[in-house]
Amino acid sequence: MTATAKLQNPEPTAGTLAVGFRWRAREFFLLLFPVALTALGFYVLQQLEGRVDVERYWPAIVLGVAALVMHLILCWKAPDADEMLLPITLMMNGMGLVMIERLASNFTVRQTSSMIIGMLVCLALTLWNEGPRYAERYRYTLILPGILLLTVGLVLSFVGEGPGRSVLAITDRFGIQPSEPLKLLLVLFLAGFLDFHREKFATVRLTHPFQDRRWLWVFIPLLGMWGISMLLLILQRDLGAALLFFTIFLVLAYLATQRIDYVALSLGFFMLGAFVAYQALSYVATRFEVWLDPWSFNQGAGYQLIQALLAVAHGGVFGQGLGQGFPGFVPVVHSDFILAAIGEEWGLAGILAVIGLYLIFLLRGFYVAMRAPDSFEQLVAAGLTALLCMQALIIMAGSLKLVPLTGITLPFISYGGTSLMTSYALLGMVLRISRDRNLEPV
Amino acid sequence: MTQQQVRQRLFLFQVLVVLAFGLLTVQLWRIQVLGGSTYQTLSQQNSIAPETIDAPRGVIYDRQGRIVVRNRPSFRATLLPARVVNETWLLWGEEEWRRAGSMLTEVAELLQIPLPAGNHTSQLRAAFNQASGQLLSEDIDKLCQAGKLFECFSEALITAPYRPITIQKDIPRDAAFTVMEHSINLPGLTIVSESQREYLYGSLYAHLLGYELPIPKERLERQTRFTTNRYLPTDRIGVAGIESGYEEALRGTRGVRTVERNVVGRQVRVIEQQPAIPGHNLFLTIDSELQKVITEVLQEGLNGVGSLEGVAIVMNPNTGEVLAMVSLPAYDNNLFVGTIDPTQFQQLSENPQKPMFNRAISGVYPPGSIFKIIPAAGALADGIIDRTTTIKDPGIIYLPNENVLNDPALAMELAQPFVCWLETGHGDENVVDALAHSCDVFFYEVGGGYLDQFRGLGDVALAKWAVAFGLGEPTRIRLPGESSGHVPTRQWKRLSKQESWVTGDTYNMSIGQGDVLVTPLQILNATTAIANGGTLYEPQLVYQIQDAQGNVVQSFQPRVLRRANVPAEHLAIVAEGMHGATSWEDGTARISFRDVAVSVAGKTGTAEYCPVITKEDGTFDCKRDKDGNQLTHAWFTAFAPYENPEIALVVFVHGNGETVIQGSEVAAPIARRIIDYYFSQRPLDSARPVPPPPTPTMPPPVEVSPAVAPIQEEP
Repeated sequence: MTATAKLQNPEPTAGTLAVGFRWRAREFFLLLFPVALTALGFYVLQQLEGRVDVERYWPAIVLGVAALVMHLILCWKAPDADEMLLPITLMMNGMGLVMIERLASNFTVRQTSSMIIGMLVCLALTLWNEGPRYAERYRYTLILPGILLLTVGLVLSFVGEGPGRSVLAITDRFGIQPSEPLKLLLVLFLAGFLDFHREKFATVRLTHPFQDRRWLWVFIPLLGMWGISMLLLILQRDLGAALLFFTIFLVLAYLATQRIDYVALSLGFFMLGAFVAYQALSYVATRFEVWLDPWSFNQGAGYQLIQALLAVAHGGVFGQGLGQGFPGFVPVVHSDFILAAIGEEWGLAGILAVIGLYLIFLLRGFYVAMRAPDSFEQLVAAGLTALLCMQALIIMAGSLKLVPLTGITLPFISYGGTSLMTSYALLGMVLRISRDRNLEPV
Repeated sequence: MTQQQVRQRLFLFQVLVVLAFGLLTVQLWRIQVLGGSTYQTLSQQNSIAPETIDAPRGVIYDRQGRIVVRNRPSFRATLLPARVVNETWLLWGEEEWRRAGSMLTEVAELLQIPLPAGNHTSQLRAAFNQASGQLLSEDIDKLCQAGKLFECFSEALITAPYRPITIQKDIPRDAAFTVMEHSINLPGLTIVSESQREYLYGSLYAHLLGYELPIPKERLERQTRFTTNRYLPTDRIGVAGIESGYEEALRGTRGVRTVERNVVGRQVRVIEQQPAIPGHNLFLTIDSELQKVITEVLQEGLNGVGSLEGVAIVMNPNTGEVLAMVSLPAYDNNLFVGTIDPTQFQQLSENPQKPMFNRAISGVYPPGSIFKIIPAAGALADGIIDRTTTIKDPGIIYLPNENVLNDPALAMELAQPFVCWLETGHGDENVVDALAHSCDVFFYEVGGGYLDQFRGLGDVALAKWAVAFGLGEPTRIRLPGESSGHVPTRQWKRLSKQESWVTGDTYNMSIGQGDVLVTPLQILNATTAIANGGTLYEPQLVYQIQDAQGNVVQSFQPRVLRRANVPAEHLAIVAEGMHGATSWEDGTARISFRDVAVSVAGKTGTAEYCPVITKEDGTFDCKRDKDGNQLTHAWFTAFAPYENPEIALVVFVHGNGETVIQGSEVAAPIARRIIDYYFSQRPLDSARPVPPPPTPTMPPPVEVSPAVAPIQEEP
């Protein structure tokens, strides 16, 4: 299937999407698990001795009701959407809610409201029939909010206390993190761009730059993404976002083009950027050193990692039990380091469950991609799924001292409003694409 | 791309991700199952680590036992973030934030740390949110020093809550006590006292005492694995004056305390303690009163002729003890204490007069006529002259040009004139007369000979005697940066100037001009040799070193540097000439030493020097006064009483850059006032040190351990 083939049949096929109530039985039964887990988690937390907070189960109830409402709306409006993705994400979200209630119960309200907003966004995107067509057709228009977000992010580096700010504070209790929605826009844009220029990528001769000028098209996204990542790295000191952005590009380039040399070249750029950053930016070098030997920095830069490792080790195979560990010693445990708390209280079993959930999401997302009717939707579904998994991988490997630590959230589980809403938006897009699977391939 | 290819790619990617998660699982297995027990032990075991205790630096006293440098406690305020909060900060609600905000505000008010206006609680929250957004800490200390209390506190709370942060340095004593009183209500706030140098006499002892600075990196790197009593990067080290010269004695030995801490860094108990050994106390040979008077007298003398730089040194000629040593301009040592004020330091280091330069030991100048005591003593010892040998001084002599010696007529025609400072000449002079009158022609001929009429010492013997009297080599005083000065030789001139040595050079050298360069201390040392019968002592600044308990570690021993090898009776002749200079009616220093209470032997010097200027035609010349004479420094060196010397002194006044200044008119009156003061005000036996009083060293600084109060084990 080529771009030219698609252009001959430009009218979208939205009208043929299935509507009308259909009982999604598999989803219903699967949804019982996250609801039960969350309710059980909150029950256990209430039973803990010496708990001084007001007794509350309502976050669990909110989650249960929201799950039911979402399920019913999907049954009614989008019966064809994938039935496994929602239970998987709700499972992760429920685990996250329980852990946040246990670690920092004053953040539970905010996390729950972010969840509700995220679910609304998710539903809207799932039910928006024209979504994928618009995303493909107006891919350059998508850049505008992207550039705006990026600019806001970069300008943040210069206001106030200098480099390192990544949160745009709207009030002192509410702010957004521009790099979170930006990564979704990037996937959409790159998928459209790579799909449209697929031909060029397939036939360009990189060894003849003067005879074959199509290499300009080929290098613009590479250099652009590389530039954005380096800007984030230098100006905003956001190692996590920079790493993630370039990884997305690598994955999409790998999925969309057949050019192993192009992917290798991009990898080369990645290595170059990493090397330059290590040499020139002291905080990157510090992270490498801390990664190699955190024990030498135990009262400074290595404190977090050591505390996280100790917490994880304390967990053992089955964990200390919910509410029985001491994860409070790990700084920002409710956000970037929530894996350490899960490791301590739920043990190896708990982390394996989390890993399992991400793997199922990956399998399911790629299943959606393979069944997608056109190459653009295929790329978007695969790219979004890969984004979620790569993000989870990077922060999990970082907290377990497999790779240098970077500050990003564990999707659906960590505390963080923008992150949670973005993850739900991602889910919405994948669900929307999953509805197209029964259409005739164009 | 076919559907098949897409499937392949997606599958391959899935395999990669599964592999990555598999790796994650392996790591988890290693941590949680295999390494579990190790980590668990680690997390339960308390760490036992040695911590250092700084040793107080030795106190320095003057000759009469007055303290000139002591340690003053300097206070800094530290905050232990974990003590400010008493439960895990994650659970904080509005109430806790307000409490922490108001507590930090109170701390800031108490310490007078300026805070931005506005709602402090929300500022703290903003700082905290920002800090928790970044995973790894910036340099916390830098934030604290910049006065950003909230940012610094938030960073520290997140990254290392059990490490105290310094929130203010150099707190005045009274303020520190006020803070201590209030800190009972402010958990976590602690005042830590450390010792800091205090130079009680300020600029009076500037170059003598020197100062200490944070240890330079090169010095740290010079330490090998086997170095005992090592320096740490946070240490300070003496880099000038006695602080540097006696660094080893002053610094003491660091103590060690073994502390047990739990895994979050909380101090559990002190296991053992090896106290620090304080540095030794020094008793200087310097007499503060004398030093003060000399500084005043010298400064007045400098002001009188508009000169900016000068040196005066007084020494005991029988032992080498330095009683006073002044180099002007000076600086205040206290400037280098604690954090150095950058503007003041810049002013000091960019000052064209270089106040930090110790001219007494590091400045090299032409000696002029005071050098004459050396050819006089040397010629007597070598038998070139005796007490009665006379040389006629016609006021000017002509030295035939050595390049055309085979044509005597032409040689005389091209002859170089050498004048005596007294144009009419002194007539027939013997060595005593020549010294008293400072007759140039006599010493030209004693040094370089004259035609066939007189055989002089010659340049080799002259250089030999200069070295014999300690010129051209350090006096080995224990101060850093001493210069050797310079004694020119035939070979040196050939190598450095590509010219041959001529008799004229010997002539110039004989009257202390040409290329001879000396430090004031070297000249004083040569004078003491004349005074005491030919012994050059190492000048010493310390007559006793005691440990903190008052036991004498080292007491004064005169150390002989070398002997001049001139028979005492010949030195007596030189001394007689020097006595003549102050006591004869026509002696060069007579005008300054009329009616002096003790008999003085002295020698004046007026040394021409050459500040190079570029003339209009592009050639170089020395700067001259309005009559075309070269500019001069003024020297005077002396010892007294003549019969039984108790003190020797040298006075040097640097040229003022405008006029000719005479040693007899500028330097000698200063020396006269010093001698008058010494012999009228000082009891004659004060040259002997008084027994040192019991030594008050400062007790070791109070170490307030960061977390002695028990904290509940788990939130």
